[in-house]
Amino acid sequence: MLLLSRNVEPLGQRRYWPIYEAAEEAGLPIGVHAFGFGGNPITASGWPSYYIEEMVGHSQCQQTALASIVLEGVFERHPKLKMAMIEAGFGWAPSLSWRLDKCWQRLRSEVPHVKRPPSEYIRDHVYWTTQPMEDPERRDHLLDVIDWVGWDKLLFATDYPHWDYDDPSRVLPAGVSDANREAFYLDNALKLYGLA
Amino acid sequence: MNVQFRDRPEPASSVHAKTAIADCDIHPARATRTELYPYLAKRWHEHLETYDKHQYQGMMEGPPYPKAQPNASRRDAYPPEGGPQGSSLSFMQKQHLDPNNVVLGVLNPLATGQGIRNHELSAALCSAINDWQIEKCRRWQRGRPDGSQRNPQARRRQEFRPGAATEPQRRAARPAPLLADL
Repeated sequence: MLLLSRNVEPLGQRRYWPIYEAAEEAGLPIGVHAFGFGGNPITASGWPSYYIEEMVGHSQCQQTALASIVLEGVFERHPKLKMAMIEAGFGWAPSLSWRLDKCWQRLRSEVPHVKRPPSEYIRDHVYWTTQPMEDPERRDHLLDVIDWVGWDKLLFATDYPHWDYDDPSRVLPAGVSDANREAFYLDNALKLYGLA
Repeated sequence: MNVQFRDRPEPASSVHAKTAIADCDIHPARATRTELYPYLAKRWHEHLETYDKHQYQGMMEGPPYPKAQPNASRRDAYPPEGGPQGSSLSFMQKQHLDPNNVVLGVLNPLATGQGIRNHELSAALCSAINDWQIEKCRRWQRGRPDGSQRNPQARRRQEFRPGAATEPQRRAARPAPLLADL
């Protein structure tokens, strides 16, 4: 089930709850894909000037969506629901999760329906498509991030036919084990979409 | 930025010697504006011909930024038979799916019924897009040009909009989900 990341309201809010209930009942994962038109500017300080800012900004928009989903208790209420974050990268996943956990430790009385640390919900429920793959100068930094996110949570994607297509023969650095490679390229997707 | 497509010899049946992969974000497109009509009630044909859906409104609808490439897509991805990038399954197969041995694809059509203010039209278009994908996958499953057979199952992608709460149940109630073996 396809949702977009920019909406009228943050995706965890009540108007979207029937969607999550229906998805869990039907056994369908939800994809949250970059873009969308909610009638809101695409940043918290209004409209930026350049397309490049929109492209970079997808990670910010997806963070809003994911934080809302976690903190409104969507995963707490729907323990079987799975989500895929699509086309917003995943390099930001650890830092968002650390920040969510830290805030939750101090402010959890505001959201008693969030019974576990946010990072646990994210680790249990969220998958990440790999395009656009982050490309740091030091590839070991990328592998550190993937270690945190989990090799079992990545879903290879190309975004065909878009211009920022990722070529499957070029995305992974050397030194990845066969098991992780197979999970990355196929096995995780087969499991998530119920085809394993 | 644009990957140039080099004409390669037709892959032999041993194309599957290459590692099989899933592609979890493919964007199929419609070749023509009436391609969805078989999946829409007649009332919506007339509605779209008379009123259409809104095209653009200030900062609220339509691409807010120029896209760097036509349709934000690879220039080498225009199908030879015409139509926008992503609208020809046979060309998608030749350019991407077969050379990369994509055995599972997750289709995420964009520019569908999402964001349309007429909620009934929005729900109708979202549902039509689902039916369109299933049909397109089925036609494609009837065989590859080289005669090899595809997996007979194909997976549908679903879209949802408040006000169309029955769509997931409608899909889930159908026998045997389809699964795209590309």
